[in-house]
Amino acid sequence: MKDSDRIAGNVFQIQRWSVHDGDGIRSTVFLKGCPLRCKWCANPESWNPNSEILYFRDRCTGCAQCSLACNHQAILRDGGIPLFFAREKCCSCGECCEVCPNGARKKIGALMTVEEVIKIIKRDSIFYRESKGGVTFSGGEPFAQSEFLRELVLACKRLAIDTAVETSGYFEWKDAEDSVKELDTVFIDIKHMDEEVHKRLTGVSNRKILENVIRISQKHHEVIVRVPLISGVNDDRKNIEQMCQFLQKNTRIFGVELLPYHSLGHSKMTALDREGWKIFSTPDAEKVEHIKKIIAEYKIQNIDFKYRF
Amino acid sequence: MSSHRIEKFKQSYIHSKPSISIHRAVAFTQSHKETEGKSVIIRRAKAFHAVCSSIPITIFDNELIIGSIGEFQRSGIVCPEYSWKWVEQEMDSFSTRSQDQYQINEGDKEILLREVFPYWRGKSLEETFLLRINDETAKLLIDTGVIDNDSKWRSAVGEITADYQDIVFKKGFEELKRQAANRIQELEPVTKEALEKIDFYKAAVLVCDGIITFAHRYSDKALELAEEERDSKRKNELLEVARICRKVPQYPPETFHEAIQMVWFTQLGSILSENSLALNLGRFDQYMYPFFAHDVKAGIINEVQAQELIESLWLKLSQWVWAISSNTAQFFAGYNSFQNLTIGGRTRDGKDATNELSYMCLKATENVKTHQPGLSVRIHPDSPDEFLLAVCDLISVGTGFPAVHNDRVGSQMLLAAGLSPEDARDWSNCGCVVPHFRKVGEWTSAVNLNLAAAIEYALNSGKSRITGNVMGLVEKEITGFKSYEEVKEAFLRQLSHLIKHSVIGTVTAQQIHAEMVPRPYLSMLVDGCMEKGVDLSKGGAKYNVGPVITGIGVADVANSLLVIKKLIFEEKKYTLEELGKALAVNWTGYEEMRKDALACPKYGNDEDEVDSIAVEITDFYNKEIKSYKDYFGSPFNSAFMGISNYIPAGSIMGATPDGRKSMTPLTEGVSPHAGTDITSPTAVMRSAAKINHDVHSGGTLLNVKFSPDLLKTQRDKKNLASIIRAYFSLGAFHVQFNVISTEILRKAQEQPNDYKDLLVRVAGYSTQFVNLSREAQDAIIERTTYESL
Repeated sequence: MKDSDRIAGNVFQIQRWSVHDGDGIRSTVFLKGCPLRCKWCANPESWNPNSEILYFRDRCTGCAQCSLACNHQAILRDGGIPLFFAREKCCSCGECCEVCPNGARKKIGALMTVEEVIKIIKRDSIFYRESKGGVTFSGGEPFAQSEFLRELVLACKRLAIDTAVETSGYFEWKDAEDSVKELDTVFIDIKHMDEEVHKRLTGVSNRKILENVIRISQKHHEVIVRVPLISGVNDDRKNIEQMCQFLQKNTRIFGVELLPYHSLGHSKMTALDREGWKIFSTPDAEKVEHIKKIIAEYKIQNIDFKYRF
Repeated sequence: MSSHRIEKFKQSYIHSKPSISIHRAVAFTQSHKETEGKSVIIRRAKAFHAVCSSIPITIFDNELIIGSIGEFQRSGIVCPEYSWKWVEQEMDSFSTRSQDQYQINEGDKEILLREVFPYWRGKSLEETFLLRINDETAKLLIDTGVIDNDSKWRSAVGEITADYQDIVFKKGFEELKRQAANRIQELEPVTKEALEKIDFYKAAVLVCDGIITFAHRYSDKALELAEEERDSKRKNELLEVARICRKVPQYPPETFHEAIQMVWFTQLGSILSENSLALNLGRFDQYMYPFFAHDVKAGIINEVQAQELIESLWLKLSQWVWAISSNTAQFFAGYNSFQNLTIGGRTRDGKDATNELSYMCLKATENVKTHQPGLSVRIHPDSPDEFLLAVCDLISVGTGFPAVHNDRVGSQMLLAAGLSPEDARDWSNCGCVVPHFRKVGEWTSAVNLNLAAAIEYALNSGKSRITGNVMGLVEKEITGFKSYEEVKEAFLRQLSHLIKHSVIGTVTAQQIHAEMVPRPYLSMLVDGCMEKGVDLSKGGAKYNVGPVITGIGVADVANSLLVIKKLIFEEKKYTLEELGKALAVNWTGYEEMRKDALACPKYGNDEDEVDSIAVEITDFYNKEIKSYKDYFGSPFNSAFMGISNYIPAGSIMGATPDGRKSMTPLTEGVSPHAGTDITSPTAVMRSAAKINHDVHSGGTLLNVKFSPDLLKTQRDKKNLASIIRAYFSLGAFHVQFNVISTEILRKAQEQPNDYKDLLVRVAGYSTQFVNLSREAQDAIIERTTYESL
């Protein structure tokens, strides 16, 4: 084993048989920790860089097995159902999840070494080869665990496994540079062109993101800009045209993929005791087609990995 | 889209009810009354001739391919010489029973009761078998669900593939008849062998004459209808059909239409001779291709007409209803007759064999959506991508067809069974997923063996949990086991015991088959019999391959042993005594233990910890079975396929250590237990491929259920093609896909009339979902559905 194989990171899921995040059949590795706080986030359990507990209160029967298992007095029996969860006392050890008979508690995230992740990835090698698939690193923000990600990418490279990354674009260039050189495909998000709106919706400015889009497109030929399309938020003509103008002027990206919003993240937000999320709506198919036309008018390729092969 | 003719025919087929036609039984019985004292094979040949000469001739509206075993559009027949008691006992509930209903009219019931059943009392195969089988074996074998071979003594064997390539199309029945007659002239009845051969050849002359007569009666009927016909187009069709039936199967066919009609007559003869399942059509795209190529080139036929003829055959194959007892129907649900038809693969000299007909067969199944033929494809590394994509297109339609097979592993299985390399390359499927060759005599589904029973007896002092009766070897109390190895050894002992009694049941059945039910007609279709002058039932085929014993519940047993290994002996979280108590009360009061048992790694998730147990058990099973030889001296073979047998096999089992509850279904083939494969389809395939498929010459089966959402786009289909190729690269043999949303299945349960043509893959085959019992429907719905991720 090489020293680099012992480098560890926090992974919250490895999804085998992932078929829309890049070419072919893939395994998607979800790395924990994200600097953005998008109000529509589908994976809010990815925000915190450390492991944490999801508590699905609607499944709780108040049996208090978890309370007995907890060594930190983080779960209190106050007579009510669901139980009171003092999250600030929780060390995320996951003992409570082990004993819950109803699946109401779920630990998210585990420290894994490069070697451990690669071992799982390798299981589906034959499927990657047959389908021209590979591995996609997603998150959270994968570049937030830059060293871990770089070693994972290099390890895949040594095995001739195709690699892709899905990034928010919010990272320091020096953290990403080495990985970007090795990656086969980069998916990078542009959520909104207006800095103020971007701040309001995601918690951060888009300036760094747009700079990174430019940088990556200069270094890399297979860059796909992804837009999480949310009705009434970023699907207006003005925003889309601004993005197209920006891309046309500054980059030589490969194409744009529109990802219509879905609301799968909501139950997880509640289970994490997070506030401030909102239900948005999905733009209808007609609207999506309309936006695709605008993009095409700028001679930018529309890409849809559901159909691409 | 099918032609207007086919569409109309399909509609009338879908809306007709399966009905019992008694004419075959009556004619066959009447003939036997008149031939007392003659040799068995002659009597059976004469009876076949009598059937061909007397049963009603029925041509349905607008048919291009004609011939029917009965007067109804969906006819079933009964064969009292094999078994009649169940018909007598059950015929009043035929139209109301839960699985596979039939109509039968009151007058016909009267005739059966008066003229047919009394004659066979004490003479049927069933009664003889029950007399001959020893008590110890009978306790495990007769209607128990522990080891089951009732399809080998309540009905005929089937499990043959007519040799169109070298016999049927080459010779025609006139030539076969002439050869047999010549051999009679050459033989002097001076030895035992010569006496038997003379009888065989005399029987051969009779059956050849019988099937020719049958076709000529159809020719006459077509002429008669042509005379009455006002529509000139149909009149000409009838005249052409009459001409063809005058020619085939008596003489070799020369056109595509003649060849297809000959296939159907050959098939009708097989059905009328013994009404058995798995009368396979073999490599249809190969033996039909020369006719297709010739006719297209000569301008005799175009592709549209050829397609219509193929679809006509598909409908004819589906018209025959395999009439079976309610018990057997639990195992072989859905009116299925297992007429397997194989396309694709390689030629005898190893080249890709895919041709235009291969694609047209896929299209035919997509168009008519009938449950027959059982369409199988052989895929090898050089199979054209467009063929595999066409296969994936058909899979995505959701008919459960085709079953996809690994060409090379099929050949390896047959090499292991003793075939030459050329013959092993020329394989086709038998029944559901058994690699087979047309010159082979074999019982491809001799016994179903309930693997979970071996676990139950090992942990319950040899007793059944449901009945409390001692069924297995007497075993020490559960508290007596000191290690996982001891438990495993006890399981293997019980398994060996079940295998031994499966062998006894089989050779006993083989013995009485050879005595009582020779197969003169089918012997005409299989190479070797005519040359040797020896009947198929006596080992006359060119190759004799040993009977197949199918294990049911690999996943359940592997999962159960792992729970014992992990929770009891490694983690020591519970004792064996506690586990025994929990199983005895079906987990009531032991919910936490059950939860822990369910949480243990399960086969189907690419976890070596449990998958390695599945490999160990299946390897042991193979070696143990191969150590026995059958009635003809051929080693027995192992298989992990499945009919719908995992449901009844589960219904006699108490709770198992894997967390499974009492009397719930087990698992088919090498599939994961329903609902436990939670990782990914790729993980399922990796788990299943760890099993050494190539040694199980009786076939292996993997069922994967997909939501249709997963197969919408061309990319999805390409991914499907990729996982098939990857699975086969790993050395696995077969995979089939059920592509139906749970929502649609639920709707079909509520409104069966709106979903009459909804096909699902039951296990080794597809059938109409609405024809399945509620239980079987629920089991299908429960199988894990992979939603789009």
